[in-house]
Amino acid sequence: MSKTNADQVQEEAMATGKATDVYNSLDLRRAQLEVLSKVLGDVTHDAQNHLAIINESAGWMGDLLNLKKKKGFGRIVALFKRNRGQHLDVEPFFEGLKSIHKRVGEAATLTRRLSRFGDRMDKTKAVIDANQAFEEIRDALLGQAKERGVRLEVKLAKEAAMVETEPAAFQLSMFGNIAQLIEGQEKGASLAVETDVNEDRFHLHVTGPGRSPGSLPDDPVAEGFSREILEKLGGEIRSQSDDGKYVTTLAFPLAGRET
Amino acid sequence: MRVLLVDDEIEFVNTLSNRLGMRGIKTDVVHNGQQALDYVADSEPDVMVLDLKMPGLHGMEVLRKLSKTNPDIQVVILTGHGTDQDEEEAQRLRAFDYLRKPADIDTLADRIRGAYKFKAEKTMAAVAFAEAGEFETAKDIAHEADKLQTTGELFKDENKD
Repeated sequence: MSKTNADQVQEEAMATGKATDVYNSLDLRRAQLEVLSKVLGDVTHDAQNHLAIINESAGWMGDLLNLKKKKGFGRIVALFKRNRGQHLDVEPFFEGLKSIHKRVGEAATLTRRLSRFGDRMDKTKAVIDANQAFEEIRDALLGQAKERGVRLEVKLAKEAAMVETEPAAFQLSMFGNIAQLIEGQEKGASLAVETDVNEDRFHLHVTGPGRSPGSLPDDPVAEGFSREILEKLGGEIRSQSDDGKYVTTLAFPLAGRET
Repeated sequence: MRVLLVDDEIEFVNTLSNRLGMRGIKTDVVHNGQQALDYVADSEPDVMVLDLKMPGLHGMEVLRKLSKTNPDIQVVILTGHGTDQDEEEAQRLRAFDYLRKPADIDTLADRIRGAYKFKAEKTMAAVAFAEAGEFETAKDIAHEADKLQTTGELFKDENKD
């Protein structure tokens, strides 16, 4: 079995005898497992929802066909052939097919993201597209927001933003920091996530109402931990409040342009 | 029979409603937990088909509230997010049944009919004993029926075929 990212960090920390790093590596493993479990749970839920809709749409088409069969479907088909469909209401079938086609596409996108997310878990260093890495955790964040009753809008920059980083820790850092902002919101609040690339940095801005919620009262360690990982990856976080809203920005250096 | 479907996936729940309608089960539809509670405050359905993961009020919270305020409503959980823990909690709160998406439409229709039959027979038996002046027995029937319901021994098997 290959060594995981957390194994390697923990081994290095133990070799150098740095107790804090050992603690952090264990914490990192715990946090990674939490994110993994969250992402898996949400992707599975969404995929099952798509499957349920496919199931119902296909079933509905079957129900309609059965009904038509009972009412003399052969006669209707003959009429359809003669009149090029003018006397057969085919609209529900097209709707059903459209729905199935759309849901199959969405379920396939989800599983592709999940597969990419899985691939990143045991890499210690890689150059990755930050927008794509965010996309893989987006569904889990949307799930978290939905559970919390918070509306989360995501707008990702179209251009690639290549960063050289520890992929799993990078995703963990984005997930942890944004999840905290979601948890700090009142029900019914709206948050907007937007990314851009500016000179030598990839930016991820989270805009919300009021002031930045900061650390959570019941889990201040987690907040500090997400921030610590971010800083270890060479990133930074800053918040500013203005006009009844705040913007928290996570910034990471682009590959080959570290300052 | 009054049946309420509660699910935030609009496309899913509308199709489900159409398909149940073709099987002789007329349904009303709402799209979140709060709407379900508002509906119940106006008119009590016999059976509620309830999703768990919804924006705002979670389905389990709805079930918890109903178990206190409207224990006669029979709840069938239909979820894509069910964990074993959720299932145990739903049983503890006396949900009639627990199904995972995607579910077979005829199985769901059978469970809805079973839930309705359970409610009707429980009510009829309790009324009969109450009319005969045996209020303690009437209470016992309601109590025993609730216990049976949680172990799934009553109408589920009967309606599986």
